[in-house]
Amino acid sequence: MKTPAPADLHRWSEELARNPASLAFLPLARAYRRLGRRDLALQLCLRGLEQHPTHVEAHTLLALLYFEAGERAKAADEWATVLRLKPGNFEALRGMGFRHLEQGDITRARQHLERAALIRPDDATVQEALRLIRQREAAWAARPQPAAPPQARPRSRAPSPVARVVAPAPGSGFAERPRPPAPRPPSQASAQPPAGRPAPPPPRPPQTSPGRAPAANLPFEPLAAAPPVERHDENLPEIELEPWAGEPAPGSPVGPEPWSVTGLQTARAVPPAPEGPPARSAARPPAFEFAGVAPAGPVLPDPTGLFESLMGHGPILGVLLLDRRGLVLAGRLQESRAGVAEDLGAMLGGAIDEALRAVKHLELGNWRGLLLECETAMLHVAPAPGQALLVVAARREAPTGWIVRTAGHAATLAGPFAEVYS
Amino acid sequence: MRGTDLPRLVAVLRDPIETFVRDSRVRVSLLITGSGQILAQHGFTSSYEVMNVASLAAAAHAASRALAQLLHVGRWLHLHHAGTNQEIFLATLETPVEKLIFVTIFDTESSLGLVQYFFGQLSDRVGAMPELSYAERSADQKTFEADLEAGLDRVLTQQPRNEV
Amino acid sequence: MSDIFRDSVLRLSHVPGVSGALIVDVSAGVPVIEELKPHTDGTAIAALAAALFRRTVQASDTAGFGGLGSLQLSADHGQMFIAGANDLLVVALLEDDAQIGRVRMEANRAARALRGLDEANA
Repeated sequence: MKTPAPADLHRWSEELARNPASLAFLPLARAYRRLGRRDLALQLCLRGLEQHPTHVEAHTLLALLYFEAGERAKAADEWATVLRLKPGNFEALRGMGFRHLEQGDITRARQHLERAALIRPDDATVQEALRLIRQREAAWAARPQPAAPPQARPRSRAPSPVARVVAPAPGSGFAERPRPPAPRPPSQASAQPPAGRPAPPPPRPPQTSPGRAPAANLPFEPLAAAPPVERHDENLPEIELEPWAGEPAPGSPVGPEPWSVTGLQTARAVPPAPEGPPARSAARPPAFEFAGVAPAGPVLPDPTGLFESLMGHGPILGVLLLDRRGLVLAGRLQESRAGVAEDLGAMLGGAIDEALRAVKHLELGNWRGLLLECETAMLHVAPAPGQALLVVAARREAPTGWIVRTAGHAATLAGPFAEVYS
Repeated sequence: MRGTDLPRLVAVLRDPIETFVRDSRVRVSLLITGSGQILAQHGFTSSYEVMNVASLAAAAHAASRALAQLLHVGRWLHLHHAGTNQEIFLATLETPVEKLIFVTIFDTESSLGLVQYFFGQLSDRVGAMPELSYAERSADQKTFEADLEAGLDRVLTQQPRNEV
Repeated sequence: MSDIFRDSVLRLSHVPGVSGALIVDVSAGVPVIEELKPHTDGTAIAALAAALFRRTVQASDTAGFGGLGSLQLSADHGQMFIAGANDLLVVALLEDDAQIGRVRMEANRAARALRGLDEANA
């Protein structure tokens, strides 16, 4: 989507003001997302869905907004809603596939991703994920057999609602791992939709023909309809899937990308890929990029790790580099506040506008910094090269002078980066 | 003010008004003569709105001026009404030819203090404009009504710049 | 006018380097009481300080850092210190060489006194 024209924004806003039930909320929300105003896009989506609770595209956009904000559980909730409304939606199938993969549920991940691949066979991220899943399963199948192998259990047509814990055979080397309850049969509907949302449409009867035709409205088929395969996921070893945390994986030059399945290559039962992990782009990649897909462009330093040398020292809560619009360029806040970095950037942008207005009209010259004393933290905001902003957050008890000095160190780290990227 | 003066005055007043709107972040603003001729506006979407606000503002100004005279306080500096979500500010701009009435409506994006401060700058700027030192007054009723309509047409056919 | 208001601005205005000390209504952005050096525009200080504080409060709330207690704006030719006191602000406009530590102390003391007054009247 190209950058929205101001006239379009104005037209959509006017239409929405005249008629709150107008569908103009959707292009307007997309436009705001494009402009980096995810907070506004989120509000528009939520309000629009109050009027149009079964609007698939709105739920899809909301899922994407939640995902980009780091709220994976909410994103998954939205994708699940989309699939109830439109079982063959590619974005939701892919999203849920990756979500299950992240949670280590290989079976469900494969189911969703296979359906997604039927709809868009040329989607590289889906294909790569399936390749890795198959590689993983092949490696599992090729593992040394214990003396008393566990009995293969074919999938039953009516899976029991009771969870079964399968004890590994002695000497297999894998720890017992309790499994979540099996999915309920289709007649037992899944969780109640959230308040204000319609009840999901009744599920379609499962297709039993083995040769399923690819179609846009494939139903979500329960396990009973899939070709019988050995269910071996109960005994899979721990899958280490790293969420996007900015921490570089051991031995890799750069940090993990979102939805990375690097863990599949490093889990104990899986031999490393013969060709080795490819070089990864360290600029924040688009969602769903896989380690297995070689990115275009040069390898760049991980932006979230730009200030790692300051993090973890004393009372520092986070350091962020923002561009002139308030968008986060580099740095991070502590994990407990990681999700608010973008919102903080957006709000600080407005505060700096006010600061600039104040220094202009009070004839104080150029502004040098803003020090905020909040209930639980201190924030220091200062200009950085390239019209960027540097934000240092520290615990409330941190000495003021120390914060200002630390901001100076951060500015030294930020200088070269800001000149290139802001 | 004669209709022949309007194009020139509307043109020169547009920039000061837009500067005021940009600095103070108000929603709408309107500058009229004491008799209700519209010289500049920002943020209105229809001529109906502009005319209504202009006529009511002129009436409010006349009433408050009468009250000031009754109380022997000279003149009011401004009139301010605060609503739940929006506020209105009304004040006079002194020019050599006549008093102009300035009306602005704002919400939480601005404040009375900001409006007062930036109105002061607007007032200084408009008061010093040479174009406002020699405009002719309308002579008769017919000319006056034609001038009134011409003012409204002129202002509303300007390309609106409603970005705040 | 309450003595607390007058005393607060007087104490603050006597700190070396302070060119203006005001108590400001935060929503209207107008001065409640002020002590200013000549040629210092109290209307402008009140309006701009209130707007800056209101906008910065939003940033603090968004990040979950709790309420905004005070903020200090530094520039090439001076500084501004603002301390929040519920519906009011204590504002000091400072020259470059002002004793910022004393200003912070006095302004925060004034803000606490005003908050105490609020609580006493509640």
